[in-house]
Amino acid sequence: MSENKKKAVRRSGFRTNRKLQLGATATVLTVVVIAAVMVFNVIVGILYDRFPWALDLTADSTYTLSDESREVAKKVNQDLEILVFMDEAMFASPTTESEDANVILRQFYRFTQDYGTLSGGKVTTKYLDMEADPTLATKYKEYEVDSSSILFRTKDQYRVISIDDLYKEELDSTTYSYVYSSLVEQKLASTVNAVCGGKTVTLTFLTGHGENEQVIASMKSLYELNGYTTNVLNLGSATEIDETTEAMIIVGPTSDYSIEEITRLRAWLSNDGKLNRDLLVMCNYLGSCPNLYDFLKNDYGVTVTDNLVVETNTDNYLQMMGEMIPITSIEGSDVTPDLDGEKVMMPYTLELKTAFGTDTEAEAVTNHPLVEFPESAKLIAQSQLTENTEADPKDAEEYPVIGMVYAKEMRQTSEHAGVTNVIVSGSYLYPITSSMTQYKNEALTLEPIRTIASLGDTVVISAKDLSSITLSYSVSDARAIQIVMIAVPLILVAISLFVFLRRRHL
Amino acid sequence: MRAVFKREFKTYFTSPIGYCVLAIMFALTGFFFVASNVQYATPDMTVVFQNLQSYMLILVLPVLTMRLMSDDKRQKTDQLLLTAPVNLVGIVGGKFLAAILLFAIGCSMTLVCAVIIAFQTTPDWLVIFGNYLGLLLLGGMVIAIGLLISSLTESQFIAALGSFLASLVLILTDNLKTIFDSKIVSAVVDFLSVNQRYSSFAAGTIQYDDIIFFLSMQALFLFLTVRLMDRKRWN
Repeated sequence: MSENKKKAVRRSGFRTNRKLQLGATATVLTVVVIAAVMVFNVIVGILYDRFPWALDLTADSTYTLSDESREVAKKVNQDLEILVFMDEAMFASPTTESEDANVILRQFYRFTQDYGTLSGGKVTTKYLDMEADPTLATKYKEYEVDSSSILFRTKDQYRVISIDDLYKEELDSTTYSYVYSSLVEQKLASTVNAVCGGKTVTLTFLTGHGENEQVIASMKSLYELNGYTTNVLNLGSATEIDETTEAMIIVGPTSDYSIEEITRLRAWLSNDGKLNRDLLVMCNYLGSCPNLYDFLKNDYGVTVTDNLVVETNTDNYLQMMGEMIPITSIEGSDVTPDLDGEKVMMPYTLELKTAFGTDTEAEAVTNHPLVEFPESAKLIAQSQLTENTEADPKDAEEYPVIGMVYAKEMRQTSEHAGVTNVIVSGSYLYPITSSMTQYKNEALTLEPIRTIASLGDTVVISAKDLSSITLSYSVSDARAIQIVMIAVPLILVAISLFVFLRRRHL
Repeated sequence: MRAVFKREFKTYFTSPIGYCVLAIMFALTGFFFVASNVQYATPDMTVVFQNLQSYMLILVLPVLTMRLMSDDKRQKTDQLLLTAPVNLVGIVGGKFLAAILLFAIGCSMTLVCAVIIAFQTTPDWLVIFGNYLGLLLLGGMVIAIGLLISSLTESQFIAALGSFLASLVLILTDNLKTIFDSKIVSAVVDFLSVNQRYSSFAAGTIQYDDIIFFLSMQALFLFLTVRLMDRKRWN
C-alpha cells in the first residue's frame, strides 16, 4: 500500500474514533441530564410530601387551615392513622360534576396533608380503594367500614365517619337552590380531638313530649361536629341514663312532663348533691307544661310566662318567609363570654321572669339574663294565638324583657363543690332560624353548651359556605357577549386569509 | 436570542398561522365562557380553564409548534442558523419564547372574560391569575415537547401529528392507572400526570413541586432540542 493510501486510512480511522467518542459523550450527557431532572423532581416530590406548602389564592382561604385547626393538629400527641377507603385520585384531583364537591374533596386532601405536617408526622393518611380491593371490607370488618368510610384510629380509640359528613346541604329559601357548606375542617378537628384521648361528653335530648324533631336533628348535628356525643332519651320509660351524660336538653315540648319525670330529672341534676350536671330547656309558645315550668320556677327561679314577645320597631325585626322575627342582642355572661352585644334572631319567644339576682356570693341560685328585648318589644298573650283572636300587643310590666336566662346553682360542702347550670330559653326555634353570618344563632346554640359541658379543647370552626354569587345577564348582555366571542375569532381568521393571499406570491 | 425571538414572533404575524392560532384560542375561550359562565350565570371560571387545558394541548399547541423547526429545515434556512455564530441555546430559546408569547396572548382572552365578570361582581382575580400561570407552565412544557418533535422532521404535518400524539399521551396518562393495576405504574403516573399537576392551579392553589416539575420539563426538552441541533451541526 502506498504511503498516501496508508495515511488516508489512518485519517479516516481517526475521524471515526473521534465521532464515536463525541457521540458517546453526547449520549451519556443526555442520559445523565434526563436522569438528573427525574431524580430532582422525585426529590422535590418527596420534599413536598413532607412539607406540603402551597399558596392558597382563593378569596376565603378555602384550602388553608384555620388557626383553631392548626392548634388541634399541633396538639396531637400520639400516632393517628387516617384511612380513607376510596381512591386517592378522587381527592387529589377530583373531577365530579359539582365544583362544590370538588372543592370539598380537595380540601380534605390538603387538610389531611397539613395535619400530617403540623403534627410532626404523627397524623398519617392512607388511601385504600375499597372498590378496587373489596377484601378490605373483611380486613377492617371490626370497624364496620364501607367504600364511603374514613377511619381515624389511634392505638386505643377509633372513629368512623362518612364522606357525607364532610359537607352540609341546605335549601336556600330565597333562591330555592341548594347551598353547600364544607364541614371538612370541623369534622377533621372534632374527630381528631375525639380519637386522641379527648374527653367524651354526652348530651342527651329528652323526648316523648312532642319535642321538635327538626331542631333536635340540627342541634345534634352541630354538637357532634364539635366533638360531643349525643343521644335521645324518654325519661318516662328509660331505665337508666348514660353516665357520661353531662347535659340534658329539652327542645320545645308541647305536652307536659309528669311529676315522676320531673322528680327523676331533679334527682339526676342533683347528682346526690354533687351537682355538676346541666340542663337546657327551650320553651314552645304552643306548649302547655305546668309541671316543667313549676320545676324551673321553684328550683331555679325562672318563670316561663305565657306572653309571646313581638317587636314593633322595624329596626329590631327581620321579615323572613312571611314572618316578622325579632332581632335582639346577647348579653355577656359566664356562658356567653364571647357573644356580648352580638345579634341574634329569636322567633316565637316566651317572656321569662327571674326571681334571683346575679350575686353568686349572696345566693345559692343566681339568674343571669342572656337575651333581652328592649322597650320596643311588646307582649301578646299566648291565649290570643291559640284561640285565634286578634292579637293585641301590650307593654311588658318591666323592661328589658327577658328571652333567655342562665340559672346557676352553686353548692359547697366539706366534701363537694359543685355547680348546676340550667339555661332556659323562651324560644325553641332559634337554632334553626338563621344561617346568616351576622346573626349568632349558631354560636348561641353552641357556646353555652361548650361552656357548661366543656370538652376541654373543643374548637368552634364555622362551616365554609361554598355557594357562589349568581350573576345576572340580561338577554341583550348575553347576546352582546356571544357576538363579541364570535366576531373576534372571525376577524382574526379574515386577517389570516388576507395575509395568506397577500403573501402567497412572495 | 433576541434576534431569533423577534424574527420568529414577527413570522407568526406575517403568516396566517399566528392569526389562526389566536382565532382558535379566542373561539375556544369564548365558547366555554358563554357555555358555562354566561349560561349558568356564575363567576367561577374553573370550567373554562379546565376545558381550555385539554383543548389547548390537543388542538392549539401542535399547530403552534409544527413549523418552529421543521419550516427552517424544509426551506434549508436551518443551514444558515447552524453555521451562524449564534449560540444554539439562543436559537432554541428564541423560538421557544416566541411560541410561548403567542400562547400567552391567546390565553389572555381568559382575562378579558374575567373583566366581563367584573362588571357584575369582583372575580377571584388571584385564582384566575393562578389558573393563567398554570396554563402558561403547562403550555410551555408542551411547546418545548413540540419544539423537539418539530426539530426531528421537515414536514410540518408530521411535526403537528407528533405533537398531537404527545399531547394525547399526556392527557391520557391517568388512564394507565386503571389499565395497569400496579403500584409502580400508579407512582409513575402520579409523577408524570399533567392533569393532576394542573388541577392544583385550577383549584386556586400554587404548589412549588408543580412549578418545579413544569419548569424542569421545559428545560429538559429544550436541552434535548439543543443536543439534537448540536448533533446536526457537527454531522
